[in-house]
Amino acid sequence: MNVDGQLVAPGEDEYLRGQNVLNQFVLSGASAAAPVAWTPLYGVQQVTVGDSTYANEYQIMQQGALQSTNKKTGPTWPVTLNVLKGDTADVLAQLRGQTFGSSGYVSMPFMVSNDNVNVIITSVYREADNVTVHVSRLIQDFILDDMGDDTPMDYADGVISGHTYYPPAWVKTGYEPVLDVFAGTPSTASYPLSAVPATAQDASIEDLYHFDNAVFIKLKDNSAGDAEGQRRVSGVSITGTSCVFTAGTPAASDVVSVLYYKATP
Amino acid sequence: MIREAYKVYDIHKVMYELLTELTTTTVPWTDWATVYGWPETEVFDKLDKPFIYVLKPQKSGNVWQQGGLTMRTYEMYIGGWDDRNTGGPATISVIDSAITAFFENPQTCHSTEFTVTLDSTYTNTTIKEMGIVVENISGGEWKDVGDKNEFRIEFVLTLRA
Repeated sequence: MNVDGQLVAPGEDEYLRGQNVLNQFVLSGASAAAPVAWTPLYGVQQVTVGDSTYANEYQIMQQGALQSTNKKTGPTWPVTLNVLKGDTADVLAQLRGQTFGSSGYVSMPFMVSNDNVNVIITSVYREADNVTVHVSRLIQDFILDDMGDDTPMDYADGVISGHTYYPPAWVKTGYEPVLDVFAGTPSTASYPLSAVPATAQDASIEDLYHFDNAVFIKLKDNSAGDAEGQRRVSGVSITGTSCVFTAGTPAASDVVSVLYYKATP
Repeated sequence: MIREAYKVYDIHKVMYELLTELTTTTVPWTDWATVYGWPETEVFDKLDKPFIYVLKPQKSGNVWQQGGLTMRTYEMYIGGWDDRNTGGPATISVIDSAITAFFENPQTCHSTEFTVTLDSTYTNTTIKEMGIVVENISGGEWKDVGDKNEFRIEFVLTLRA
């Protein structure tokens, strides 16, 4: 074991500060577009992804042996957005996909009446020049929680809370997430992606994080009142630069959503 | 609206014109004059009325947001000056009271109208319309001027712009 090594000094590009982070989102229910444009979030002070918790953790034992298998079910990652107090309602409206104020709704309730996915959030960690991307973070399928508020004498952030049931991820510099949304047509099994998908993760890793080099492929069945689309884990694949259905081809009113990564131009 | 590339100059000009409006139109301010920057010698030579001097602001901090430009906080020194011929200690107390009361009233200081010329002329504008808000005022601190017949106090305005 080498105990006398001395590490080189950190580079200035490694000392990242939140003030250089660009936070952006796309609505889960975005209209058909390939790609869907990301919208910057204004007034953000911090976006925090907390430690995951599991609804159930248990061990499986077997008689006559010492081996056990640890099982976890239902991870949830808490996500908190701290924003400038004056922007709280506007940011909340954006995440709900609504307009707050003139030409839109005049109120934003603190309560969220369902557990449906609202947005996908990316936080782009940039270096001090506010241009060079060092790494970014993807929060997929963010769901708003009920919120609170306080009015201290001095300044305090507005806090918007939520969660996701799917793993957030780091994204290497030089790559970025892309959301392509298509209006389904019955005779169409192949939907052309707007970019060449990059390798998301090791295909042998069994997790909630990705499917066939996409973060997710969702099919929303509007005829059945499907609120947010269901992730497909079979009957569809990324083939070249297309999303191809081999079973359960989209119907007339369905919506196909594909979240994947591409090389930044 | 104050300009990003000329913020210090614009804030200085705006606050000077605000105080000039008061010393032109509002009792008891009309008993005083307003001076832009540190008074020149001729001001002291004349000293026919007390005056309020308005020094340039200096940046004291930032209000950050992730990924974008910041709002800045500034400290700006303004002061009152007079001598025994123009008023004396009593006048200085009145100046102190008036400045403090004005800037500690959020409605009054942010809605008083004045005219200022920056890149263009803004008529009947307010500091809030120009993008400046008053966060705090501290003082007036006594300042020694050497001449026992002259009196000076100074305030620090904390501004956000």
